Amino acid sequence: MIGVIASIIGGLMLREYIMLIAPVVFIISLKNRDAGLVGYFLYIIYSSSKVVSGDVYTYEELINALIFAFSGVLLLDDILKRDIRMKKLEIIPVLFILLGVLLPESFLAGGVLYFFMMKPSLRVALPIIGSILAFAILKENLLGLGPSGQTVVFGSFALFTLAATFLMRDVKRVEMFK
Amino acid sequence: MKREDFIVILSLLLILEGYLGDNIVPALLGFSMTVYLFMLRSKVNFDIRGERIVKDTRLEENKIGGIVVRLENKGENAVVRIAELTKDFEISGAPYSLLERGESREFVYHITPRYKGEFSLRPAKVIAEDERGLYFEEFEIGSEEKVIVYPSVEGIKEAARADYNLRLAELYKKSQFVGTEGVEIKDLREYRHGDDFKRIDWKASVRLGELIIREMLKESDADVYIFVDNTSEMRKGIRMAKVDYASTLALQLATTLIKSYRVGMVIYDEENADFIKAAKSMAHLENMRRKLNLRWKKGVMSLRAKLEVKLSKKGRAFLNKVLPLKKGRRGSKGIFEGLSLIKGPSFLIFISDLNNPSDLYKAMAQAKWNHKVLLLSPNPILFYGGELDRETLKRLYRAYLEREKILKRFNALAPTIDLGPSDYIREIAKVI
Repeated sequence: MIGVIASIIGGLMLREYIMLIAPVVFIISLKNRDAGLVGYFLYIIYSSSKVVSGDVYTYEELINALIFAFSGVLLLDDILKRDIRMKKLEIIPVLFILLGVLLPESFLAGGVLYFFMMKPSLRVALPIIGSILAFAILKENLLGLGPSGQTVVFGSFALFTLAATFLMRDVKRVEMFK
Repeated sequence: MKREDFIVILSLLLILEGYLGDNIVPALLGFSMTVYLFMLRSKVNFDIRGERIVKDTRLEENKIGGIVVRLENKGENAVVRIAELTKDFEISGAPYSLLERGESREFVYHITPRYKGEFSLRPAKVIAEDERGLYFEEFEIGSEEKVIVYPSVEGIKEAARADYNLRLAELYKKSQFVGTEGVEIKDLREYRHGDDFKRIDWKASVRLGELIIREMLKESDADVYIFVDNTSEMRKGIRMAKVDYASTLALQLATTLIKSYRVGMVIYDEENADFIKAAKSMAHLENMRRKLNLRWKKGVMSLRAKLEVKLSKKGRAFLNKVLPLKKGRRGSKGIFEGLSLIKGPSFLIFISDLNNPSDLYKAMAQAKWNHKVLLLSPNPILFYGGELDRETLKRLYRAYLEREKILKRFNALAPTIDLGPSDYIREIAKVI
């Protein structure tokens, strides 16, 4: 449920009311996980075009982009988990997210805390630290290139992460609609 | 497509959207999704251990047996599903549940043997799926077990009933047996193979030291009703439909029987029944002949023959609401309407290809309370008039196996005679 709450709060913070339909997508996923994923696909492709941010070096724009990214990933997690019940440990990050209405940084802290509670391995930090370093080192060059240049950096790190994901280990994967 | 691939495609599309739209928001979200996937995959760790206990290795046919599976999860949280790799047993109540890290639990489910004999139950397959439904792993739990299935008392009874009715059907072919029997004894004679056990005169048998059968006088005034199936499947055919054959057979039967009995006829379809009251005159025979001008329609037979229709509770409730509304009808189907019109105890001869066996079965079971029943069934496989290729032959063979099962069930209910296109009344009428 944390993803649904995050999407609603995020929608209110960013004044993008399309994000308020996130509960509908979640309800679809309760009926069928794959139908929920398809619903999420349409929802996220549309809503991400509505929130505009052109620069990671501007604090407000970066915060807005991160709020949307966190709410999107948390909602994806909800759709995959399909669990209505909220665990006791989830209450703390939810409180942080709710406080985001007053203090936007609190929203991000709630999101980070939730993912920390999943006890990820240290390797997960590599692409994140890598991208932060790249943006810091190449600041002068990237400022001149504008938003497309910055998306290229995100794209390259995404490809690197995907390659690492698929090469890391071989697991059996679940088919959709089966 | 795999669920994981779907998310990968979505993340790449978001990055593309960001690049084309000069917007870092979708690109950042796409990147975050890949990191999220990386985290999930690195956390995958399935390790399920356990044992399977088959409570009874000696079961009775169609009787439920219990299985207990103890599982322990030594990996990450997983949703476990237990499956038995067997076609000889029906599995019910197989669990599907979340097993948390370090948790151990007992699962109970049931197996019902489909056939009698000795079977081996392979190790149970446990499918563990991660909480988010992206990855899975399969484990084999337990060892191969031998399960012996004995025939059930009901099964033996049904086989005995089928055997009895089979012998009765043979008797119909060999001698006359039409008409209900009276209470007066006509004669006593020695037991012959195929005689009904119920007619053994035990006192006389003890006196004479061998099995003696009572022969009863037949009541010649018993009415005979011939039920002709005129449902759409009977009317289908390429050169000749089964209904043409059924009409000829019904008329030949009527011609032969009308000499001794009052003969009536019921021609029924999916909705209506045409009822001709039993009478004993040649004019009446002409009346029946006119009613039997049933039209055939061009089409390929479905060869479908299944007694049980598998429907969910919801589906059955829906059909129960919708079907009575079809063409404004709310009443019974043609065959039941025909049955309701017959008043006194009679001898009923059904002619049907068993394309809608569940209705016919219910109707015959209902009719058996008051009447004597015989089923003559034109075998649709022998009536197949289309081209024969490898696929059709396979289809025909499957239909033949299915029909054999159905015939066995009907034989347990009433004498059933399977007929081919050349089995006109020569077989039946010359003796009736």
